[in-house]
Order: sequence, then structure tokens, then C-alpha cells
Amino acid sequence: MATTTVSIGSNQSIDTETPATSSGGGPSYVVTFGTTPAGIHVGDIGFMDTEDAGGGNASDYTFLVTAISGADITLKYLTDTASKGDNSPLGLYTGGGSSGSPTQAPMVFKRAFSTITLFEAMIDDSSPDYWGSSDDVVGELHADSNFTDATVNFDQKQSLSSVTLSVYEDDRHDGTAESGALWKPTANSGHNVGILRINIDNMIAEWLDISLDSLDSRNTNRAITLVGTNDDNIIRNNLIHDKGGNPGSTGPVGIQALAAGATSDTLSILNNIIYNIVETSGDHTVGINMNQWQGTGNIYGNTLYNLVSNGGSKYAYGILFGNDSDNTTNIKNNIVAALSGSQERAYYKTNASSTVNSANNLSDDTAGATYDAEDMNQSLNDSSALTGKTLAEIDFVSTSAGSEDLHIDVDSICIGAGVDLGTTNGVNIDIDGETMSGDWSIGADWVSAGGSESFLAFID
Amino acid sequence: MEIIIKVNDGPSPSSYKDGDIVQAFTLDEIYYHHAQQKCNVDNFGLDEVTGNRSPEQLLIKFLERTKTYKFERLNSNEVKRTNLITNEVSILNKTPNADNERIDVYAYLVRRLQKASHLIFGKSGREYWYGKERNDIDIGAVWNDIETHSDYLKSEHNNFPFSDVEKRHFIAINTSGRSYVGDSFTRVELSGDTVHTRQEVAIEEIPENPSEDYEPILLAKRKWFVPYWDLATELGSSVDDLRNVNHACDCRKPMNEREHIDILTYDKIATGVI
Repeated sequence: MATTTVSIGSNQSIDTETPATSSGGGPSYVVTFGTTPAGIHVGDIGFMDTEDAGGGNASDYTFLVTAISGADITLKYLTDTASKGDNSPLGLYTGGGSSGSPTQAPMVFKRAFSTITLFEAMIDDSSPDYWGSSDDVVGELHADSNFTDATVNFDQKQSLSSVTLSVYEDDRHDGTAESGALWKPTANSGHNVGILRINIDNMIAEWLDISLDSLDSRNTNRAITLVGTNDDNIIRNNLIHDKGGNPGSTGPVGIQALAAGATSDTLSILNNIIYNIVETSGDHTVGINMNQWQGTGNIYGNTLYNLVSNGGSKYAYGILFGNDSDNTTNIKNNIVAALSGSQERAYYKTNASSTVNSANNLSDDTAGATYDAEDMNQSLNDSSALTGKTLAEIDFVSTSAGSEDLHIDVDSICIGAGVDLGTTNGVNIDIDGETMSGDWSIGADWVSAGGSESFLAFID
Repeated sequence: MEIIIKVNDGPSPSSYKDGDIVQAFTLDEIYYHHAQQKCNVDNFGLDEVTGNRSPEQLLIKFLERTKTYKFERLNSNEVKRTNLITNEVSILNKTPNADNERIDVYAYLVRRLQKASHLIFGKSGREYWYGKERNDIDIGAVWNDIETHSDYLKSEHNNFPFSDVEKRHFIAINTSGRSYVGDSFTRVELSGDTVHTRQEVAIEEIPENPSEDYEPILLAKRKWFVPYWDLATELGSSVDDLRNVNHACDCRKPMNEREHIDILTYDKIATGVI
């Protein structure tokens, strides 16, 4: 399958340069420019406003940047408004000059899409021009400005092989909020609907920094929802944080499977950090809710911190799962800490008949004994669990409001306390993008058991 | 207020429909998107000596106006946090305070400095940085700063930066409200929920006491639509052009030419479409 990457961001004037040389037979051309374009990335669009040599017969050409190697920019012809067809960018003219000496048209580089919602709308389209009908399509966010999309609903991908919503490598968060591309909605998503709503198989959502901080008086109560068609969905390396207030009749949830899916389906939630999810009026709060899911759930390496419910018989849940007897949940290397509610249920397996494979999870000293990493509401007696740990033992780098950093510090008991989970679905890539090796840590951050992480020399 | 509209029905029953309002933006949101681009960290260099971000005036002013906290490292262990809205000051260190807040400033800074686009300022050992974006940003003040420290003008950044792809597959329009004095009116910008409700999903009414596992039924991908096929005159473009993907449709107009929101936008539920 071909992979097509398209950029998503608000920068519509990245650079303008004039093609100087071109090679290749189309639809892909390797082009150099008089001055090598600055700030462009794979997935950006090259736009040319052209006319025939000597003027007239206008057509706007659109090319996609598919590769960058030094000064060589590979551009794929996509469309032109006069339907003239595939052409190299070199030899497309402005209409200026004379027919014998026409002026080469410049190329304006822009993002392909300005918002996540409009990217999704094109995924839903049957003839989008910008990717092949059976491609693996990757939409990469760029940190030009905040993404404020209130709700994005991926519920059709036509015949695409897969869809990935990701972040351009240099614009990814560093494991802390607002350090890269930020998705910060300001308007209602709809109660129980979700900010990112997924109802297609083979989708990856990764490296997203979703802040709910503007939504305290809004009905938004769920960050990522999985609607039921979610086979081979992977939710990894995301930050979800800062929901307060009372969103309505049901409380806030970081990631939730809303429906059962099929028993043969697999859903993986890997190395995410979810924190500061605080209900203020009479509802439960849940970090990860996979309760309805009847397929296989892989919940690995997540860090959940400061989950607060409100009211009598309203509980603070870390990870809630296994209501369906057909469900198998593999739950390993997770941290659940700082719960507060009428009960603190760090891990809650609802149905005794569902299957759980648990290992090396941690609950702190706020969790009720019945619901800690060892017992999970079902007296599992998991001897690999770490329970009753204090925040000092977990040793997050910073829990200070405004500078939260839930990486583990070098004295953390989580270092070297995890189980090796292999490499499937990128589970070995931690919240910084580091590749885990040797002894694994518990939680979303990996720190080498031999010492410190790959720290830079630093003047203290 | 700007709106972007779906052209032609999507291929599936649950897809966007012809005329659906896919997204809507307030003018302040549009100004903020542009301001963030002008004040993007990539536009500002690093100090050649410290390797920390150079504290250029525009960037610092932007951060002071858009972030809630300023953090200043005092020594190897302590950080002073100032709430820029209330001026409340706290001293943080490795020992948790009453709110369980603590920070290992050394470890914190080491990680931040690994990222090329970090926003750590100041001398080594006396670094400072800003945290937590505000929710009530004074966008007018932000643009005053931008105009003071650059050649950019706020008045030239009134439109959302839709891409060329989007302008060919969707229709970009803007609309207005009205402020009446007697029978005469002036056109006014729309803001807040008036704008944002136009981009909402159509959802079945939620029962009074739903369970925690309650899933709302989505009636349609969008609740509001613009019957652009009946509004060619108002939008200033033919229906054929509006539906032609080879024609970029940007029907955004100056304020004094905009149509009223009630002429352009309709609720599918209220009008019986769904």
C-alpha cells in the first residue's frame, strides 16, 4: 500500500520560490529551486497560478511535496483547475514575458489542510484527488497555531487502507502540555460525543496534545471516544489534560470505548498521559474506560494522574474495563495516581468472567485496596503489582500547576520495574519518542535503569 | 464570523451533506490564529551563548499576554511561580506543598532544552519560562504588540487561512449580525455561542438521567446548513461555480456587504430536514 502524508496547519504562506530544474517523467518530479524553499515539509502543497506562454488559458496547479532531500524537492502533480493534466512545475508560466520568452511561474508552499475537521471531511470524500483510493493516509499536524476543532468524527474512510492522525516530528510535544502542536477546543463537542471520535478500523491517533482547559463550562466531557468500529485502532503517545467543571449528566473521561466492537477486534491504548480530569458536580470521573469493549484491549504504559470525581457514590476510576465476558484485557506497566472521590478505584475489572492479563501496574496510596493494581476489583492477587506507593516514590518531575511534567525522575521506583512488552504497535516508543531498551519503566515515560535518561550536558 | 460549507453530499449515509456547516470561526479566533503564527517560536532565535531562547520583545509580550504563569528559577532547587493574572506568587521546590505541587527544576529544564523549539529563556541557572495558556486572551492587546514590533497589521488578518484545497472542495463565507436603532441597523460581528452552535453535531436529545455508558445517537454529522443553491445572489457566485471543484469558492465579503446570519444558516431539526 502507498502511504500519502498531508500537512494540517494554518500557515498558508510558508515560502514562495521559483523552480529551476526538474527531472522525472511524472506525475512525480524532482525539482530544485532558485533558492531552496525554507520551512516546507512532506505533505505540504505547492500551488502555482499559471497561464500559457504568452498569456491566457489560466490554470491553477496543485502539487504535493512527497519527499525532501537537500535541495531536491519531489513534487507529485495532483490537479489543475483547467484540467490540462500532468505537467512538470518547470515550464509552467505566469502569462508574463513573451510567447518566445515566457516567465516561469513561482510555486507557493502551503499546508494542505487548515483544520483537523476539514482533513476528516476529505477522508470521508469518495474522490479526494490527494491520495489513492486504497492508500494509508497520514495527516500530520503542524504547530502553526492551536487547533480548536470542537469535535472531529472519523466515521468513514471509504476504501482507504488506514488513517493516521499524527503530528509532524519536530512539532510533537515533549511529554508536557503546550510544548508542540496543541489541540485546544473552545466550543461544545456535544455531551458524550468526544473531541476525537473514531468509528473506523485501522486508525492511529498519536502525539496529540489535547487540552480541555477552555471547556470547563462546556458540555464536552470526553476527549477520545471509540464508537465501536475500532479494530486495530491504536491510541498512543497522547497527552489529555485539564478538564474541570460540570459538563452535564455524565462525568469526564479521557479515553472511552462507547460500544463493544466485535470479539475479534483489537484496540490498543499505549503510553498516553492523562491528568487533571476533575468533575465538580455529582459525577464519576474515568481516565480510561474500556468497560464496554468485548474484543481484545491492550492497555500498556499509560500514566494517569489527578482524577477527581464529585458526590456521594461517585467514583474516581483510573482504568475501567472488562464488563463483557468475551473481553480480554492485557493491562501492563500503567501508573494510576492521585485519585479522589467517594471511592478511589485505580483499576476496576467489572465482570469476573472477562479475561485479564495483568502485570507490573502501579497504584498509589490513594487507591482503595480492593481496586488497586494487585486486585482490580476481582481479587486478582497479581504479585507483580506495585501498590500503595507515594507520590514521592513515584517521583514525577513536576506536579506544579502550569508546569506539569509527569516524566519520572531518576529516583522513581518505576524505573526498571516494568515488563518488556516488545515492539508491536510502537509500544516501545515512550512519551518523548525515545525507544525503550533494556529494563522497562512503568508508565508512559521510560528512563534507563542504568542511570539517567539521555540527558544533555547542563550547567546547574 | 466565518463559515466553511460542504459542497455536494458525501458518499455515505453518515457523511456530511450538501450545504452542511463544517466549521465556524469567530473573528477573535481568526485573529488569534494569525497572531500565533506571527509569534511562533520558530520565528525567534536562540541566544548564542546560553543556547536558551532569545528574549525578543514581541515573543515575551506575547507569552505574558497569553500564558497564565511565569516560572523563574531562583537557584538549584527553587522556582518562583507568578500568576500573571492575579500576581499571586508561590515558591516551588522538590518538597510537595499543601497542594502536592513539587518540581525538580533541573530535571524539568534538561528535558525542555532537548527540544529545538523550546521556550526557555534567561541565563543558565536563572532560566525562566511561561506555562498554561489563558482562556480569556485579550486579542486586541496581542495585536497591538504585533503591530508595534513588526510590520504586520491586524486589519490584514481578518480571514481564516483556509487552504486552496479547502476553497475548492468547500465554500468559505462570512456573515454578520445586526444592531438596530429604530428601523435602521448596522452590521456587527458575531461571537461566542452564536457562532459555535452553527458547527454542532445533530444529536438526539439526551435522556434526563443517562447511565455512565450512555452513547448519544448522532442524527447527522452537522445540525446547521446553508442552502447555498438558493443563495447565489447573496453569495455572489453561480451555483455551478460553487459546485465546481476546479473553482476556488471564496465568498467572504467586507462587513458592509455581508448577509445576516438568519438569511444564510438554518437548523436542520427546526426546519424538519432531519
